[in-house]
Amino acid sequence: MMIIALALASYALITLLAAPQVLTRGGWRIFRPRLCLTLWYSIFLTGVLAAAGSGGIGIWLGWRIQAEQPSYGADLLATTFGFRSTPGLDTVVRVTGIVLGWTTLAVAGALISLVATRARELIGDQRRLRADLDALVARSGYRRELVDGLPVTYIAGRNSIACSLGGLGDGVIVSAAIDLALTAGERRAIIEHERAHLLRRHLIFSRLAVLNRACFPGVRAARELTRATALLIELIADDAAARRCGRTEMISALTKLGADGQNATLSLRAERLALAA
Amino acid sequence: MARDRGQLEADVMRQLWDADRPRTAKEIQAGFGADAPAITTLLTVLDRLRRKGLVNRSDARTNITFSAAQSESDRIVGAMLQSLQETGDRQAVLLRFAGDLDNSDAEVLRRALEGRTRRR
Repeated sequence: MMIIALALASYALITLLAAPQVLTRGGWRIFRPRLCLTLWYSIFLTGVLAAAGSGGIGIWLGWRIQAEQPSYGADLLATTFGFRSTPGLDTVVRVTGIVLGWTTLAVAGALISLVATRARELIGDQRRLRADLDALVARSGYRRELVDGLPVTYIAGRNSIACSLGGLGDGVIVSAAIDLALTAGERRAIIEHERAHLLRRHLIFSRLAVLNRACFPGVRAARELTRATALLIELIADDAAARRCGRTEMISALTKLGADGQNATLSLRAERLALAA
Repeated sequence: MARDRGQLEADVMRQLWDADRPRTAKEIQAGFGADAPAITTLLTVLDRLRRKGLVNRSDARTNITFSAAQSESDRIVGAMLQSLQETGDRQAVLLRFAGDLDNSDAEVLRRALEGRTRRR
């Protein structure tokens, strides 16, 4: 049991250290964004499971050491590593086991509480945003259409905005600036980009990354996961939109929207699609 | 300088959003100054905008006026995005076409594209 706990803890630590080293290097991730995102979240989720498993075993062993006869800890060491049981070692193992067990329990409790608080805040933000968007649509919405089953609402405004709340039923909101600047085909590409986000549940990835960063604000892997998620989901949605309505339309939409130079990533995303052809 | 269709439509909408009362086509044309499009072009644009749902046309037989069908949303959207930016959770509650990408993401993209171009 102890060896399994140590192996799981080592795996969790390795994923924490190795993921940013491996997955933030090279241009491959830009041209294979789905593969890169899959690797990030496979490593992240297995790392979380390993840490949880190791913590769970640690708590269980700590509880057994505290609850069972005094020599249980030393017996455990003897069976796992072949140490000979002595009275002094018994005491050291017993105290260490109890301290580690309670510490693990306290850390797990703190993390669960932190995740629950942040998740509640996110749900609150989402509710407030939904109410704000409903009010916005009531005030400034001028057209509503159904694009292959996806509701699209157009709102009056001179800034280029296309966004969605994460649910297919919520649909997509597109501003007049995009409605006027783009051709029907280019507009469709933007809508397909948003549909890809919704179908592939990209908001869940973003939320996991945000929750992870909230738990480990100073950890590089957590920061890199948040950054990688933000970039990769956009590239994946670009690719999906290009497949659905044509690379030319998608490139043209990105180029037009990036022409004002305010968002440098738009024209770079267009260039990436052109190079990937 | 010739404007493309989308640019002309956007310029007309800007005038109507900024106007405090409905405007006639002549007034809109005057709003363009020296670079004004022909009145027939303007009427075509206004009709297209009306069909898109962006513009209302008065029922009058003469002196027809045009107004924005809805007030613009930019200030509200800006405030909404700003408040989400302050909580730091924007990317976890809202999916935007432009994404939540910054200069460092642009740099990552640029380096990857340069690498690919060099190899070709």
